[in-house]
Amino acid sequence: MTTKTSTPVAPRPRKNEAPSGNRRNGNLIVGMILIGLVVFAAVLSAFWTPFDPEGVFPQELLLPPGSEHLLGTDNFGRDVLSSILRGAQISLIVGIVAVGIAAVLGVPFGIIAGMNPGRLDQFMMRGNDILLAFPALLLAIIFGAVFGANTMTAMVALGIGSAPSFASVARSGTQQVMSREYVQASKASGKNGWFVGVKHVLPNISGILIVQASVSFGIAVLAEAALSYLGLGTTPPTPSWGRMLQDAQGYLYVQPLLVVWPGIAIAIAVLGFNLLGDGLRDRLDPRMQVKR
Amino acid sequence: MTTTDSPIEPTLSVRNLTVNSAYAELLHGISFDIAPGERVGLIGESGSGKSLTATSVMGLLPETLAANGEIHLAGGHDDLVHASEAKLSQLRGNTMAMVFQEPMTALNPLMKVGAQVAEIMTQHRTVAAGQSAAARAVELLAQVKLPNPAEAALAFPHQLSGGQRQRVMLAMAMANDPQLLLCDEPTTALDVTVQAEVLNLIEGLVTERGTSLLFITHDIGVVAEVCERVLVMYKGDIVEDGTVEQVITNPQHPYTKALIAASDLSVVDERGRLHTIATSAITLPTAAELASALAEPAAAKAPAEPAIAVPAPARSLDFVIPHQRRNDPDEQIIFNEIEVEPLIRVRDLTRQYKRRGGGKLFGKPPVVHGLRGLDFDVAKGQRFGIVGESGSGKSTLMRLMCALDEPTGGSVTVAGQELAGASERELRDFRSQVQIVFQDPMGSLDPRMKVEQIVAEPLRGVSRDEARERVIAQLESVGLDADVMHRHPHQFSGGQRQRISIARALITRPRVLVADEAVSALDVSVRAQVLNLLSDLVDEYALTLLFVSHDLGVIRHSCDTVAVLSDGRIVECGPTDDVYDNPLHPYTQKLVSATPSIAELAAKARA
Repeated sequence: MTTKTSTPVAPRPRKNEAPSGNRRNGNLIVGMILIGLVVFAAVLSAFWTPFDPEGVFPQELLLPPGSEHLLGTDNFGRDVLSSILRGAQISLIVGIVAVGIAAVLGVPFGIIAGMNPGRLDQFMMRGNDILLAFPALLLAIIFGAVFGANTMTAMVALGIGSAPSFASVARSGTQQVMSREYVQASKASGKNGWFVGVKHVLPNISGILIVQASVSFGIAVLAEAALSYLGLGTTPPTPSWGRMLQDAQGYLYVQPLLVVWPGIAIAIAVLGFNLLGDGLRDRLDPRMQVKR
Repeated sequence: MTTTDSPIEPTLSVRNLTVNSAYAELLHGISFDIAPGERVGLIGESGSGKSLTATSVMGLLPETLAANGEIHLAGGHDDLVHASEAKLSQLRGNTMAMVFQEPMTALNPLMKVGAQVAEIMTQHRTVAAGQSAAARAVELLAQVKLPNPAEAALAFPHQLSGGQRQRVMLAMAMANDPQLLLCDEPTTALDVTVQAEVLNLIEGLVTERGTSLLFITHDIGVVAEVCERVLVMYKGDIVEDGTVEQVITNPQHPYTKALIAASDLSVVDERGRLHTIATSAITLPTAAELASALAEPAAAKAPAEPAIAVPAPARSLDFVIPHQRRNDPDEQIIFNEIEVEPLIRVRDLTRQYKRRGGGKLFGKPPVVHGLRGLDFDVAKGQRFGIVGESGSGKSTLMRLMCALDEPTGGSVTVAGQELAGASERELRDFRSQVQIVFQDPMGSLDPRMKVEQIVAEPLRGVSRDEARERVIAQLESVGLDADVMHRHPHQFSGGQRQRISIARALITRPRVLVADEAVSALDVSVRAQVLNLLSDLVDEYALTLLFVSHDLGVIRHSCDTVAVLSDGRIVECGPTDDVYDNPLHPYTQKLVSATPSIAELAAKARA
């Protein structure tokens, strides 16, 4: 009565070496290229710029793009290309410091809240919500008014302002990890909260934290530009994309291209970090990892 | 005999069905027929392709997979493999219907179940919308034996129990009198007693209406309950096709033989060990290839077992285990009472939970009783099984025994250490003496850690080198090579992961091992291997075993004493064989009768 109803067929040769998951990672690649551009500009400008970005040339005011000044000059005769390149430095530094502060404050806060469900968690997260309801930009304006407007206060304020979102992300990730059996096993073998937090929780939520960091980075770059535009960020004469925008505003009818260049620079940086964040989300999502 | 050359047109006819992913062929050209009214079981382990077969028939394959071949339904419909989506959706729910494993996710949570049943009919215009559809829905719910069908029709899915939800799914599937009903593991998520009822219902419904049934499961016992014919799938091929009786009593293919031997937990070899796919296939030289493919690589490398025949289940305890039952719910009995220094002593243990939501807006939250006063002892070296269905409190008990949760009242003492209210500091010694093996072999290992770190985790105050040596020794003891240390959990199969879990649990040389459904998530063949391993290790390390499971067969094999837990109370406790062969409490009787052994099934099939 028993028969083999078919003969096994040899597995077909692989059609395509690249896993299908890579198709969706266009975001990641484009994001990395855009951020690569910004980083390149920042590093390059540390050693070389076509002209001194802070050098004033009164005889060359508001020149259109030409062979000497590739992107033209501004109302003080400064070379726009040089300013844009140098401005990348400030943007990156603000991003790194602000995200660093936010992560250092927010992540442990979120993990502690997530590991202690009940009153402590409720108390901490309600505090977090209050801060979350407060826009980072508003905080930065207040900080600027109280401590003086400069890059440092802007960075600290943006860092504190973005910490609550890190805390929320870390907490929800922690809660998921805490419900896993390996955490139970770890507790059952007598490991304390510190060990569980550092050895189990942190590595397992690192993926979502990296995503959060890259998205926050883009927000910080944008916020710095906004603060500088409002005159509350980087102080002159250090070039900053936001302040370049503000300066250019007064000459919109004389030399409209002056607004375009820093605008493009900001757009590239912010878009780059957001795409990177999306790409990393796809790549680092633990559920995706299991499938592969 | 590839095709049944019967004059009657088969309800379903599958010819040369292959399914390909981008990398590999998953189904290797299978062919089978299902005659009108025939009940066919499709059995196989995870990854054998049984669910793919069903989804191909329904035309529900994910887009990344491509099907080839022919699938025909009776009644001159087109080939389903190449049919348009419009044509398929006309057939689905009408000519063919499917019941899925998880009824909670298969039902729309925001729609009343009566409306969902009615929708299936109005969708296919078998009944006009409105009053008549609603009335017909209630009628169908009555046919699937839902208590109070008119009321149930107005309930949302979350208000029903798992078994009730599965009944609703059945009502939906049967609503348009399909020619073919496909069931994909419909009872796997249900308790055994509920499973028995749902299986009866399925069998009754399809026989009554002459519906053909394709029933997918990994459980040979379930197939024997419901089906007349069995198809055995292995790695994308149908390897055996026969009546239930033939396949159970006289399997032909080596894989089927091995599968049935491994499924049967009541049969052991001369050394008291379960038949694993590897050992049972050894008697068949032709199957050597198959056996080595089936056996986990690590298991194959395990050192040869000692040739001395140890009389197996003769683990003598120096006392007689009493067989006790609870007569009335509030009676105070101490089960398995041990006068002199029991290793574990549990007295009047209660755990209540406050339910969030529910109750009045400003009232006290309603209290849910997890455990209602448990009293029992466990002696050193005893193998104590705890059996219960979902909601019986067995997981709560397990958590309390491991001091992962605080009891509401009562006491748990392990080796003289009181757990209730103890600080983590006081528990330090206890922690190294009681270890757990969890159910989910994926979730119990940290995916970001390497095996070496995982296994070494419970060690404390041990140098790196010593830790490494102990990890290597422990991995060997569970049949894994030392070089697996540098790999991550996702690189292992379920059975191997469970071995890693066991290695982690034993590295501190505990006195008590708690196994929480430790083999429930494993395939049958691997289950037998892991149970054998556990049994060996319990002997070798002189462990006291606390085995929590819903599976009576597993408990019967692994434990000498069993406590039956129901609704937060122990209702019966005694020597395992005694309790199973001669259950005293009605609940135990119901439980035992719901899980027939392979031998009983064979007898039933023959009759």
